[in-house]
Amino acid sequence: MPGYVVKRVFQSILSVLIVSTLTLFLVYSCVPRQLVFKGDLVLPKIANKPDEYNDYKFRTWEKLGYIDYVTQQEYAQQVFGADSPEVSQALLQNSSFYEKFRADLTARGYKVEALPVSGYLYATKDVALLTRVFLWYAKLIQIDHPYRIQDPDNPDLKRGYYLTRDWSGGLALAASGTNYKYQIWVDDSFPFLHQNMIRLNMGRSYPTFDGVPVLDVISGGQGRSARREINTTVRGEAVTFFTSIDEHSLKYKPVLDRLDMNKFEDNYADGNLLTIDPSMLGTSFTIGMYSLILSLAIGLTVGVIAAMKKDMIFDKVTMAYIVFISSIPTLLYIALFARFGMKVLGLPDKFPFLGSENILSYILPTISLSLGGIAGEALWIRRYMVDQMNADYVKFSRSKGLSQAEVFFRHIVRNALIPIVHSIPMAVIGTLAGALITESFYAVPGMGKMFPSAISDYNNAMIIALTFIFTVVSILAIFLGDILVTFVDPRISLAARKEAR
Amino acid sequence: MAKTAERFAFATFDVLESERIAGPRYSYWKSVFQTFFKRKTAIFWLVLLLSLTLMSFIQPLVSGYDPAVAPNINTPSTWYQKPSAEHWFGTDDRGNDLWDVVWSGTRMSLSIAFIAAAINIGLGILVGAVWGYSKRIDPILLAIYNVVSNVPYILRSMMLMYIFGRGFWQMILAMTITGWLSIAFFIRTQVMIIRDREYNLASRCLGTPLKRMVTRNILPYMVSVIATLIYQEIPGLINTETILSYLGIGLPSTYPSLGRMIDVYWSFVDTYPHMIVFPGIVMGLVTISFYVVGQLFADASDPRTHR
Repeated sequence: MPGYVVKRVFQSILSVLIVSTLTLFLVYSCVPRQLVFKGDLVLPKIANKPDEYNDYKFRTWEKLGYIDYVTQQEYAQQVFGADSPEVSQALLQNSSFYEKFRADLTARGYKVEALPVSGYLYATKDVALLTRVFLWYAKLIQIDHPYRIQDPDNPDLKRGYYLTRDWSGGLALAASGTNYKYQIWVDDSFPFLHQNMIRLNMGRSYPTFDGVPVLDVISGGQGRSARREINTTVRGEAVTFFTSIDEHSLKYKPVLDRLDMNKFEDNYADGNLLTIDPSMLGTSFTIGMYSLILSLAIGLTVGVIAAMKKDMIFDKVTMAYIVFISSIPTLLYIALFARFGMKVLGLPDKFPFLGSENILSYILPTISLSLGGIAGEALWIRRYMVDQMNADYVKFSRSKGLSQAEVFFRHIVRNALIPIVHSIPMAVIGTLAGALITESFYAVPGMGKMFPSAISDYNNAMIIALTFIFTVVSILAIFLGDILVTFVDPRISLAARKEAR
Repeated sequence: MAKTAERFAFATFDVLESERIAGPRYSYWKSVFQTFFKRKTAIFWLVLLLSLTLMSFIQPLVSGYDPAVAPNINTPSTWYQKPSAEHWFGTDDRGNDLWDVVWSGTRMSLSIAFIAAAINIGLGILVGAVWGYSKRIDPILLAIYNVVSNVPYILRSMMLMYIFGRGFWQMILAMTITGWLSIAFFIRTQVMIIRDREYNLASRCLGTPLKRMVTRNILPYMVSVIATLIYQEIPGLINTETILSYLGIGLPSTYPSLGRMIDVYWSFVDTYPHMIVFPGIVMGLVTISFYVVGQLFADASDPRTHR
């Protein structure tokens, strides 16, 4: 078994690498780079200023990693030093620097062109596809350590770890010299123990959520910020203030202002804001989990009853429901159910009507998401039970004198549950991705809605990150399911048995 | 004793007659259709399926509806009309006859589903059959399958749609480029199970050539499996198309599509419900009839249900 697990982990990592490398290659080579500006809000405003327009476009592409971009001014600063008077001389019309720029950068493989109005030169060079893919992986895992921050203006920065208590009094391992102040801490939210030591960096979002790291977009809170009162001591003085900063996200800030000094003792003053609405990840997970519980509970019950009352009216209605749900497009039954929920039950058919704080917002999306699952579970358990009714072991246990119910629940249902157990981890984790259409229909601010909107906005970093995350979680889920099923069914062994013969 | 002699006579020995196997003649396909058409529900759904399919492929030729052209967009009196003798399904927010719009959309969805299903199932069966028989390519294809199947299908097709761009053939490419793999895997498992069954072993021992084995022993066994694949594949592909088009990453707005109709007309669901109801009903009937006919045919094609 341990040997098998190691092999399987290795295979899983390989799969993730293959899928994400393919995605990176395809996205950066097949999607025209001009399209990233489709959702850009700045570009239309400067469309009638050709120089600015050009400069903005190339800067954005450089930020997104498509090209290297050097302007004449930047190169002059680089050659003569940033504050040198020769920099402005180099930009004068008849300066010999034009020739130098053209010659130097052409020699380095850049393509040199002139801005249409001012005539200043700029140089661009495409970043090779392989380099881009390599850079994505190189930046992926970020490890925080006490020598991370190298700030020339702050040479006396202390370096090392220490135990402390955060604002709410929880125990935490903090550090100085690191990028993040709090390295490990405990609090009352799942999974209770949190860390900042190893973080994933999947690039920054653009054009939507411009500049925000993509993982912060999906795991950070949403909506307006939530302020609360903080009582703490700063440099020995007890202070009380209102803030919405999340202290666990505090990062190194090179220059502090007065307001920061009043709240913090050290240079760690740059934090994310706490918000009233849960993150995209959290919203999807809540809806997904409840719908999974619902579909298991209802689906299995209905399926068992239908099998016990085979060919009676209950069974026929169940089968009609299953055929209906499995054949018609998801969109259609979700739309139908949303109408029913709104007209008959009076529930909101769009999530933002009542917002994340009102439980009524969650009811329709959760039930909609479970409609398909109910059909799937019911179909499986009914068919399995009907097939097994004539099996030898069932006939035998009946002839032993077991009652109908005992035969069903002691023998048949137990066997039928094994594949369902196998699929539970996939379903749990699949809730993150599975709600694409439901979340879009009900305008739920979750992960499922994020993927299609990232696609229509040409948000490449987000698309790659989401594909990576969904691949990792589904591989993990299949793996977990395989492990789990060996506990439920002792007959199944994962490691390939050596042939006895 | 003379009377007994009158009653009994010696039979003549017939060589041909002695070779004849007693019992009714059995033709597989005849039995399949007999079993299928015995059920009235099957006939009902088949007629519905055929008329819907014919309607959606013929009506757009007559109407010539093109979503890029809106001839009545400047005549507000033609907008939002309730169903009438003139406009059976009413008109939409741009004065288009919904009857035309619905059939064009159905045709588009069906065309995509038919082409993509033909490619997926054809390629899937072909590769799956070879995959099931060949021990050499099994590990290679299995490795590819393991990587690809880790990414959920809808995510895969969305991703590919993004890479290829929006359009009719792009969508078919996105649906088929990895879509055949899961079918091939399914067929591979089926072939592996069947090829080592005792009757095939016996058949091989008796010297049946491979071609005869495949066409006579294995394929008839697979008919119900393949029928099952088809009836799940077509509504599944229609589902994928509507989801992609609804989310705005499928067909562009110059194409009629059922998914886009739901997306565009949903804002009128309270004021002009007929704009949602008719596309919905047609969409539901098309997919249900495919599913039910396929399911009944799959049942009928299983030799165990004959007689």
